[in-house]
Amino acid sequence: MTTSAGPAAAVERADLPHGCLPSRHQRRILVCAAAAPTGPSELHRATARWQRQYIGGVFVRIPATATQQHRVLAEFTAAGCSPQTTHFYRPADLAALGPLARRIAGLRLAHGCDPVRTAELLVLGATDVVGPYPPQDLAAARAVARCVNTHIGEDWLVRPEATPIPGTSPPAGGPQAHRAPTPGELDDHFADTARALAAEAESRLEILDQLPPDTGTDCRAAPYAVTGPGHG
Amino acid sequence: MRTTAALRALLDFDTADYIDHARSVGRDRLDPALRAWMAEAYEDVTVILALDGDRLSRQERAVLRLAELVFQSEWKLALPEGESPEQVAARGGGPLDRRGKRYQPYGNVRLLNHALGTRGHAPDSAVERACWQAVRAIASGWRAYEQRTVDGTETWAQDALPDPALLGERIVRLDALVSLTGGRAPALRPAAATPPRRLRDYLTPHWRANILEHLTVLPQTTQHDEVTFLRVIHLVEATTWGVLARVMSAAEWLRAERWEYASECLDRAAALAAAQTEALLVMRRTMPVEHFHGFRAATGDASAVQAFPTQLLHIHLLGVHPEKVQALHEATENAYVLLHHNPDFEPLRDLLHRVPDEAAGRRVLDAAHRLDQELYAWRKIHYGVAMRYLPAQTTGSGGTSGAPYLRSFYQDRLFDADRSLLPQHRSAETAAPGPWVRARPVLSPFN
Repeated sequence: MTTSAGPAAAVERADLPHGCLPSRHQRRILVCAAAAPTGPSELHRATARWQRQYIGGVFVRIPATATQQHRVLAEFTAAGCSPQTTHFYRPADLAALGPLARRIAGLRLAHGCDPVRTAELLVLGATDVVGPYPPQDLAAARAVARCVNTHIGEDWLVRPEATPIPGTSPPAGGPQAHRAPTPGELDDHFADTARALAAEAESRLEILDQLPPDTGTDCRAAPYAVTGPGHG
Repeated sequence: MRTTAALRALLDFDTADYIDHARSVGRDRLDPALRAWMAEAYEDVTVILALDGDRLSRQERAVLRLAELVFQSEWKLALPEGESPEQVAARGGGPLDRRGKRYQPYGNVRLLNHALGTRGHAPDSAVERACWQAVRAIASGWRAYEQRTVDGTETWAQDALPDPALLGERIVRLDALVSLTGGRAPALRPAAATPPRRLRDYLTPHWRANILEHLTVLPQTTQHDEVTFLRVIHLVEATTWGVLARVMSAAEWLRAERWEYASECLDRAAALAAAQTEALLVMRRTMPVEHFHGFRAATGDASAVQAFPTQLLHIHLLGVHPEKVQALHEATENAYVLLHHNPDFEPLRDLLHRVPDEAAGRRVLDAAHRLDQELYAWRKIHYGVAMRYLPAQTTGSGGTSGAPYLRSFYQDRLFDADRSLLPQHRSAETAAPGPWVRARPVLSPFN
């Protein structure tokens, strides 16, 4: 039995039978910021806390337009998120995911799903997805991960799970608002994040390189194929 | 494509010749023209992968990913004196671009990480397995190397040999270390007897063993015990990654109140920590002090303070120690670890204080205590190594004060002598690194 994220059903055993320790990945959290203004919220406070608990493991997807980006960044930094420890990125920063998206599309596991969105989740290694995310793309990512992991025999790819926003106590050090980055600093930040995502994409491509050439045919059979929302 | 000729030269690079030449004269004395070519080749590789990657075949891409790691070491070592962070920033580089004889290129640590699978978001079980496999492969390969030395058939790094009694003890200890790996993970396919000719030959099913046996062990000199030093560095790195992976998982299981899984993770971490101690003792018991002095100058600015898995393990167990903050600031490649120095980060010690006082909770504390004992034993030996091999009032490599630096925190641990959990040291101040430093996850492609 393996799981890649989050607590499973409670099981208490005094002695674990050999081989029954579930493997787990380092926690990585994808926060999807809303396009419309929300003001300070539980999501911002939770993200501020997560990015201090899971150094390097918090990614915030921000809207595409410049106006919305500035507003969203201001909300997160006011709540205590630092551009040093939070990876903010725009949809355009996912350009390097093209080759991976094409490989995923070749597996033909999820008709009607966006392979770039699927690649996004797998590249981030998101164990937790917080905020609005198309459920069919989440299901597709889980299906791809399950299929690839089964063929390789190890849980290399994370199966992301939708995670509710926790009711969060404020950060232990008290609220520590950060200055929103200047436009120049923001450009550098996005470039650095895009570079990190490109490197992560190469890492996932290395995993897919281990698959036999006919894996796509194999994966299209149940139980991997996504047939609708909620599957995966 | 940048140029077909450039790609062809990269793909046809004679890796065997590079390794044989480096080993016969010492890496420090490699043909300067070859080193310069490799340094430029690194820049070519990064450009091709970034701009022409779509037009490469799957194998070409895989070869260039490996080439990037091989050539980057030479690119970094091409500047023999240390490059300051200010000089790096002035040419537009980031912390990971710092050149000079630093720990990472000196030990070919990125190649080691590639073999361990710690350059990607891997599950803890895979990291642990890879670590045990690496320990077995490294210890076995090193043992065979020492046996060939005893037999008089080994051809490289044969200056200043230890006396036969020490070599004999070293072989016995390496046999014991190999035995510790029994039953932990399937053995890797054995490495080739001689270095494979091309980089693509390191993509075969034997690739991990070949990297560990041939590509990572390139001493700067022809001093025999510099091989010992490098092998111990690799063994300590490998075991530390395994311990770290299981400690991070244990922390998450504790947050989820899955006590049995947390216990199991900590037990497995303790086993790896025990192997780590045995690895260090091979050097401590069989390498004379004067042998270390024979190659120490050639290690340049390389220092264990730059070994970020060790720093991260300490942080995930105990938090950022106040006495280490300055040294971590100066090891700019890894200064991001200072971002853990904040009130919301919960090291294992914090989480253990919340374990329930019942049977399952006590098993967690027992396992944590075993791990604590093993790591404390290792730190004591490491401190003893510094005292033994570094003359008094000598600075350690990398700018620390050497033994006094280690003394200031080697006793920081989870439990007191009476098995009570020690309180977490608190600091109201954060220790933010410079604004150009970005966080990265523990298992990152930049490792």
